Amino acid sequence: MEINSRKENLKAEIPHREQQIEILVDIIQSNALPPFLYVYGHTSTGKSLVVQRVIESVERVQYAAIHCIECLSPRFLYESVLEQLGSQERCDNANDFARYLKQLSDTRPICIVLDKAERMRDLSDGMIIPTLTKIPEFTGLNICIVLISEIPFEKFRCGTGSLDPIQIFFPQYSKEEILDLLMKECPQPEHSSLYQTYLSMILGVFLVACRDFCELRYIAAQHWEAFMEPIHSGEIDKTQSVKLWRHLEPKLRSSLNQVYVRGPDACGTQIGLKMELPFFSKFLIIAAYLASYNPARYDRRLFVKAKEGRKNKDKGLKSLKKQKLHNAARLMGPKVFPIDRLMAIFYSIVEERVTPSLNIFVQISTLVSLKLITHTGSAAMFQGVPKYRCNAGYDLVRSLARTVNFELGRYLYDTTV
Amino acid sequence: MATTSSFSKGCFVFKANPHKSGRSPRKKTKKSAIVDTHDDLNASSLFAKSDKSSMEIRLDSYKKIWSATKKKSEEIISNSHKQLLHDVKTFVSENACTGQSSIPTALISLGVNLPDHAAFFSLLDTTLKTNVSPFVAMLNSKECPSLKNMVLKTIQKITSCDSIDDELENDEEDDEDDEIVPIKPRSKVKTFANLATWYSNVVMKTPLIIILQDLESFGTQQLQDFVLLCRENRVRNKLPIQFIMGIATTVALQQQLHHRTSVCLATKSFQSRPSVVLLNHLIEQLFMKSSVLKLGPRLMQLLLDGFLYHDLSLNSFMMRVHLIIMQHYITLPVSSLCCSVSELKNRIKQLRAADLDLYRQLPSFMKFIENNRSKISLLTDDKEFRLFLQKSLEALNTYSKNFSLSCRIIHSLSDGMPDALFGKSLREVYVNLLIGGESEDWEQFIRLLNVSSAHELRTRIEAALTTLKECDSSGSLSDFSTSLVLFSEELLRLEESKKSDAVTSPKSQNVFVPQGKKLDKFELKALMATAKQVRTTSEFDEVKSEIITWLNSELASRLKSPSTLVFHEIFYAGSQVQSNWDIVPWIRRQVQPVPRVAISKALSNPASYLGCSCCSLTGQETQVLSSMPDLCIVYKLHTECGRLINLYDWMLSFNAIQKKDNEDDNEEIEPIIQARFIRAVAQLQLLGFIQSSKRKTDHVARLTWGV
Repeated sequence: MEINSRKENLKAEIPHREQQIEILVDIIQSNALPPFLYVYGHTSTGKSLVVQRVIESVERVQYAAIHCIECLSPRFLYESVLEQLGSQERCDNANDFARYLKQLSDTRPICIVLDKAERMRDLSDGMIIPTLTKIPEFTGLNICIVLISEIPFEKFRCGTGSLDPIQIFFPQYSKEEILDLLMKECPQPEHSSLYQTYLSMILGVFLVACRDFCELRYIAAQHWEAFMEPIHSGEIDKTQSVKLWRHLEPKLRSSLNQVYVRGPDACGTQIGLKMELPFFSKFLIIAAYLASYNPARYDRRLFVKAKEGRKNKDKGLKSLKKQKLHNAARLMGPKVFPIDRLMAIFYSIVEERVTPSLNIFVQISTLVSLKLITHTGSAAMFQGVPKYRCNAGYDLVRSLARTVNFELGRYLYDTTV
Repeated sequence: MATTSSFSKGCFVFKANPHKSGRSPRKKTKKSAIVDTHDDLNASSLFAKSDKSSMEIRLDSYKKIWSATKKKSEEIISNSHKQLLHDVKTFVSENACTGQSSIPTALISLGVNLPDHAAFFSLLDTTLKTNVSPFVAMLNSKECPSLKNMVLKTIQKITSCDSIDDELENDEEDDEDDEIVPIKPRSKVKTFANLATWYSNVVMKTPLIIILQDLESFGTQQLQDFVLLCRENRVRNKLPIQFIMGIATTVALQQQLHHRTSVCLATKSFQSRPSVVLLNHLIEQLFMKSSVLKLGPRLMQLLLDGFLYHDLSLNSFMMRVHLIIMQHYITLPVSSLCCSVSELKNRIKQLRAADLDLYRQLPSFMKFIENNRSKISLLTDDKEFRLFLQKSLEALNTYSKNFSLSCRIIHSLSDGMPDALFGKSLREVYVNLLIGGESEDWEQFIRLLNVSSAHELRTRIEAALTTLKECDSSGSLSDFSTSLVLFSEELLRLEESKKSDAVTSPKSQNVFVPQGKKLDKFELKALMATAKQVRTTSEFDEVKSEIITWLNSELASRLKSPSTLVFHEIFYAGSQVQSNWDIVPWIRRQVQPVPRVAISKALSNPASYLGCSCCSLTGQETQVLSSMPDLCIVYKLHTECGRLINLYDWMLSFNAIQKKDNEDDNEEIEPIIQARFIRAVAQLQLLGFIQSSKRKTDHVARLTWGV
């Protein structure tokens, strides 16, 4: 009787997860806890919430909940678990852990919940999960290890000794369920029917691209103001849903490209493009871009200013044309180049005479720390010449080139040939 | 050279003691360090020339001027951050109590001059601590190599703020001045869960602010984990965490803040003023106001190049200014008179006859004497010379005041003209005029004024008047402003009369054209010619030509380059002087170091650094002497080789040079020679000149070509 009312309460609290709640409550409620439980499903399908609420609601178990991102060593894991269970011992191996668990004053069954469990796989050579799942067996205590993860359990299997868990899958919400869930967060309860219309518009556009509940919630909150605007101003009556749809649709379509993108408020990209850089840094970025996207063989052709480079033109042209079919250098991504080549191109494109002073090299390292150029290869000293890769995109480089009156197109081989 | 036991040329860092408050000890060590390295160059002979007392005077005025400059620049920089600080502060306190799950984040883009950010962040830190919340954790990527350190550092910094607040809990004293607080290994608060329990006991429920100084340099994964953790704790443990992130550019932001991260953040971006604007402000305030020491054209150019072409960093700009001020006082014996006008008289009195001769040697004075043969008695008569010195230095002072004022006037007169004559900003105008040789611009300027309308001319003159009123407190250019006022009144009168003319006699212009008659080409031409004649003799044109002649005479005379004046060397650092007093090459070497050149010079001509007579070259650079250090010999031999160098051949030629003197025909290579050779090759590899080659095992690859 009591169990059923508990289930009903939870189901009312967390809608559309009835089946999972049912299973979980039954398992946790049972006298002998299963040693290993595996809960998985996509992001924002309510895994952590359901597990947390279910375990909290059952008084006859004690539990420790750990967020695995924070667990950087087994010791941290063991100690946090022990601390939550009321023990202050220091512990850095599984043996001690098992011993301390036995010594706990509280003898209720124990649940150990590990959220984001996929992060545990790299810890102590991947043996931490097999070890943990064996703990109930070693100690003979009534312990249940609950892993919560976004990936199927197959990815956890490694070697021998691992138990097979009871798996509980959280499926994604269907369209109706999402609609229902979003309705619960209606910003203006007096407009609930209107909000429903609005939500069905939103879902009609975005559900194709994204089923993440949190993201959809964000999108719904984002456009609500724009939707209500003509109603508030009296332009469109709230019953004319077709008109409202026509008003909202173009905005939704344009923001469809920006699902999952949350830059610093809207103007972010513009700030990036008009960033201020020292004069030579601009040329260094341009040189790095050229070095990354031009094949080294054509440097002579592109950068030798005198006529001497023209001799092999015809030959070069032919092979280039052949290559052009499958070049699209920009799509191939940046190539690695040694620093010598960067400097050679730099000196060739800068009109003035530049002293090769330390200041130039300092700028390269500044650009590396700004992540406009990345350093590749071994970081060890004396291991040959340092190698770099240009990280700046075409748009940025083009706008930089424009500020220093540099014709980028003339020196890019896929546009010159 | 005598003070250090190393023979390598370099920069010696004397770490200042952080426990001693105040900057004076640090400055002293720095100064002595510079004097040390400088000693061996060319100063020692100069110091011998000038006596002790003058040295003390110079040191004294250097200290005065530098502390004033430093104070002023710090003030300017901190003032420039005021608005941004205020904005960030409001953002933080506004979001203090919102219960939203995403973390309020201020993204501050500060520009690429990374070293300058530290000043801003320390200001931000103190502002936030005093006004918003004591729980501020400032992190930079260097102290957080991994997530573990990052979490520990954050928690530790937040909790240490508290332990200062209530001393009861705290047993050990934290050194707050120190940037890096040592990690307390047994600290009770180690995880976010602990932090939450700690926070529940804290009385003041103010937000926990985490400042990430250089967002770009943190590892992406690490940052993502950290943000996820913080957000988890914000939601679960109700910790009011807020972020402030300093970014240099927004280009890498998309990569740095992955989608998973950015959904956790509610961002708002802020932007600091571009550093070029700050530089303009700094130069206007430091060198165009009544500062004693000014920069000569060459040094000004050098500083601007360093700033605009290389780093955009105000920090290093100020360091260079510091270097210049110091060097000016150290190198120039005549700099003892580089002081404020009030002190001038006294100091001139104290000069001795020997000192006076130094002033007579100044090129500007010699030129003056050449042009004014009548004043030749100044060379012998000390008393007269003293008077002359005082008079001309005072004149120089008024000149430089007027010069910067005239720059302002020119700036407001030429503002908005096409092609940005003289430069867009006041700083550019000043520098261009300081360098001189802007006669083309001046002609163009006059030409443009000639064709401008009465209204335009009047607005320009009025703009000049307002700037004059703002800046000229002493009234040294009062006659200037009165004539400007007269001109503008005249123009206003003309304009008004013209308006009334236009109202009353609209037909008067058509008086030449007979009504209703078609004109032929010649008639029209004649008509236009007469019209033109009438126009040139109009009243407005008279006024205009008057204005232009006045500008040509009055303003141009005030704008001549300082290098034309007598004794300008004293007040303008880096002016053309005798070669041993010229600080510009030295400064250039310090500001734009070329390590490659220094190394190859040391290796090809070791005598220049060792100062020994045995290895001094008698002409060609390529000459190899057996007395040279092994490294030099190996280096010189390697410059004659191609891309790949055969080690055995190399060793044979090394052996040959060692054996050259004792005429030994023995082909065997002594083990000691071989060992020396191997050591030298290893050193060369360490210096980055060669690299072991994979293609041929007994060869090494050469890495450098030419200098």
